[in-house]
Amino acid sequence: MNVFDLLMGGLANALQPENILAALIGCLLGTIVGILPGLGPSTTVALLIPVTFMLQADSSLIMMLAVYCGAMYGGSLTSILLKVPGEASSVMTSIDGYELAKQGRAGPTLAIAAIGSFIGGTLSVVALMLLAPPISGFALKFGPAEYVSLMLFALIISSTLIGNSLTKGLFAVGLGMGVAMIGTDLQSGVARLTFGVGHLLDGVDIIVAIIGVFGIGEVLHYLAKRRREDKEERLALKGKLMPTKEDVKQTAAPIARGSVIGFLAGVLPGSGSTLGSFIAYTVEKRLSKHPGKFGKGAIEGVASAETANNAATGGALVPLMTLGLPGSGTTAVLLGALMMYGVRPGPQMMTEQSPLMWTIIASLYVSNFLLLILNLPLIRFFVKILDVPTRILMPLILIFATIGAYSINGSINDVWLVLFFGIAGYIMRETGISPALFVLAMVLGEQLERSLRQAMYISKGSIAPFLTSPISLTLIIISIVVVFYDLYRRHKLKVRLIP
Amino acid sequence: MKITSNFMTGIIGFALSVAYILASMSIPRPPGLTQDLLGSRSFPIAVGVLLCICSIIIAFLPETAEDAEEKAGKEGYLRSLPYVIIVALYILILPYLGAIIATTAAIFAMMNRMERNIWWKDLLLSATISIILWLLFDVMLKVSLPSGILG
Repeated sequence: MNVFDLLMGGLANALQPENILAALIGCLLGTIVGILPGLGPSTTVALLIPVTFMLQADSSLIMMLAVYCGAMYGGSLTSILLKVPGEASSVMTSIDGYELAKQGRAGPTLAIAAIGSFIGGTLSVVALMLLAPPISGFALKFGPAEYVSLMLFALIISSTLIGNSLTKGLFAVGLGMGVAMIGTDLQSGVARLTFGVGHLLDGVDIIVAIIGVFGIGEVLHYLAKRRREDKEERLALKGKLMPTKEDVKQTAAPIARGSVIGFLAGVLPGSGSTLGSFIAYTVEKRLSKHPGKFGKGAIEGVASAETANNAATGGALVPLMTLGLPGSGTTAVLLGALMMYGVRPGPQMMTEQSPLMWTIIASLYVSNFLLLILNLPLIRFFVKILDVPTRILMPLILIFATIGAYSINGSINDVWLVLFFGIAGYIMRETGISPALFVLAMVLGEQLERSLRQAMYISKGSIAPFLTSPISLTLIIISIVVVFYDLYRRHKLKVRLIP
Repeated sequence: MKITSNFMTGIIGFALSVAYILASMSIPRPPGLTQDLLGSRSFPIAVGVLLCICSIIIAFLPETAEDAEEKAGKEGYLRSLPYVIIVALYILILPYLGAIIATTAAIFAMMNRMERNIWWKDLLLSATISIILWLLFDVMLKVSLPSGILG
C-alpha cells in the first residue's frame, strides 16, 4: 500500500466520532492547562495522562497527542499576554508578542500565533508522513549494537543541547538510568536496588516518575520562585481579534520559513522546539528590511517563532515514531505514555502496528485543524483562565497530580513515590540538573541495557560490532565530535562568573 | 574556598553515587554457565561510576549566571516546604478520611498558606473542587478513590 492509502485508512479511523471527541477534549484540555503560567507542554501532558485512561487505547493515544498539540499552543497565550513563557521554546514568542499586546494588538497577535501554529503543525505532519516509512525501513537494519550507539548518541547530543552544562546533563542521564535499573532484572530474574521494598520489584512506574518530576516538581519550583518575581500583570485583550490583510502579507513568508526550520530542528535530539524558534526568529530578523522593529513589536517575529515551535512537534515525532527515540522531555513523556498502553514506537511499529501508526498520524491533522477552529473563537474564553487566582490553581494542580498518580495502579505507595519524585524534580531545577534529560534517560535506560547485553552476547564479549558497523561507528564518531565541540565552545564563551 | 551550590550538589551527588555503586555491587552475580556476559550488576555499576565522575566535576564547576537565574535559593526551599508537608499529610490521611474530606482539607490548607482569605468561602471552594475531582476520577474515570470514614 502506498502512503496515501495508508493515510486514508488512518483518517477513516481518526474520524470516528469517539476519536474526534477524544481529539477535541485533548485539544481543549491541552490548551487550558498549557495556558496556566509556568506550566510547559511536558508538565501538561504528564498531568493529563491519567485523564486519558477512560478511553480505548487508540482514542487515548489520540487524546494524548492532541493534548501535546494543545499545550504547545496554550503556551503562546501566557507568552503574549503575561510575558511568562511556559518553557524555553516560547521565549522567542514572548519578545515581540508582549510588545504587540502592550500596543493593544493582542488579538491579531494571538490569531497569527494560532494560524502559524496550525500551518507549522500541519506541514510538519506532512513531512513526518513522508519521512517515517523510509526511516523506519532503514532502521530495520539496526541490530543491538546500532541501537546502543543510537541511544548513546541521542543522550549525548541532548546533554549538550539541554541545560547549561554538559556535566550536569550527563549527571541527569545517570540519575535517570539509575532509577530505570530499579526492579526485577527481566533477563536474570534478580531483584535489583529494591532495598527490600516489595513495591519496587516491578520497578518505578515511568508515569509516576514523570508526573512527580514534571507535575509536582514544576509547581513546587513555581511556588518557591513566585514571591521573588514581579507581580504578573495580564494585558487586556481589546479590540479586533482578526489580523489585517497587512498582517497576513507580512507573516506569510515567516510562517513558511518557520515551518521548515522548526521541523528540521525538531528532528534533532535535544531542545528542538527551542532551537527551532530561536533560529526562525533570528533568520527573520536578518532577512527583515526593518530589523530594528524586532523586540519592539514585530508580528513577523511572533509568526516565525510560534510556527517553528509547533512545526518542531511533528519533527520530534520522526525519531520517536521511527526509532523509538524521544528527543525531548515532552516526547519522552509521550513515549512513557505509549509504553503504558503496550505500544513500543520504533521501526517495527510501521509494519506490526501500521493501522495504529497511521491513525495517530491522521489524528495529528485532525487535532491541528480542531485547534485552529477552536482557538480563534475561544481566545477570549482561554484568556479568562489567566484570571483564575494562583492560590486556587496551584493547590488544584498539586492535588490533581497526586490523585492522578494514585489512579494509575490504585496504590498509595505510588502516591508516596510521586511526592518523592516531585521533590527530586524541584531540587533538579534548583541545581541546574535537567528534569527532561532525567526522564529521557529513565525511559531509555532499560532498553539501552537490554540492547547492550544482547550485543555483548552476540559478539561473545567483544566490542568489535560497535566499531565495525558503519552506522554504529558513524554515531560514535559524531557523538565524540559533538562533545569536544561543546567543550571547545563553552571554553571560548568563558563562563560568566557570579561576582 | 567559597562553598558554592555546585560544590554542595557535587558532594551530595558523590555520596549518593558511592552508595549506588555499593548497592549495585551487592546484586547477585549471574550463574557461571550463563551466556549473559554483563550480568545484572555491570550496567548499574557503570551508571554509578558515571554519576561519581560527574559529581566530582560538578563540585568544582564555577557558578554561572544562567544557574543563578533558575534558582529560588534557600528562601525557595523554605517557601515550598509547607506545601510538601501538606501533600505528605494528605497522603497519610487519605486512606483514613477518604478522598473527599482529605482533598478538601489539603486544598483549604494550601490556599490559606498562599494567601489568607475569608475562611468559610475558602472551605466551600475547597469542598467544591474536591467533589469535582472525585466525580472526575471516581465516577468518570472509574478509579476507586479511598472512601475512608464516608465509605
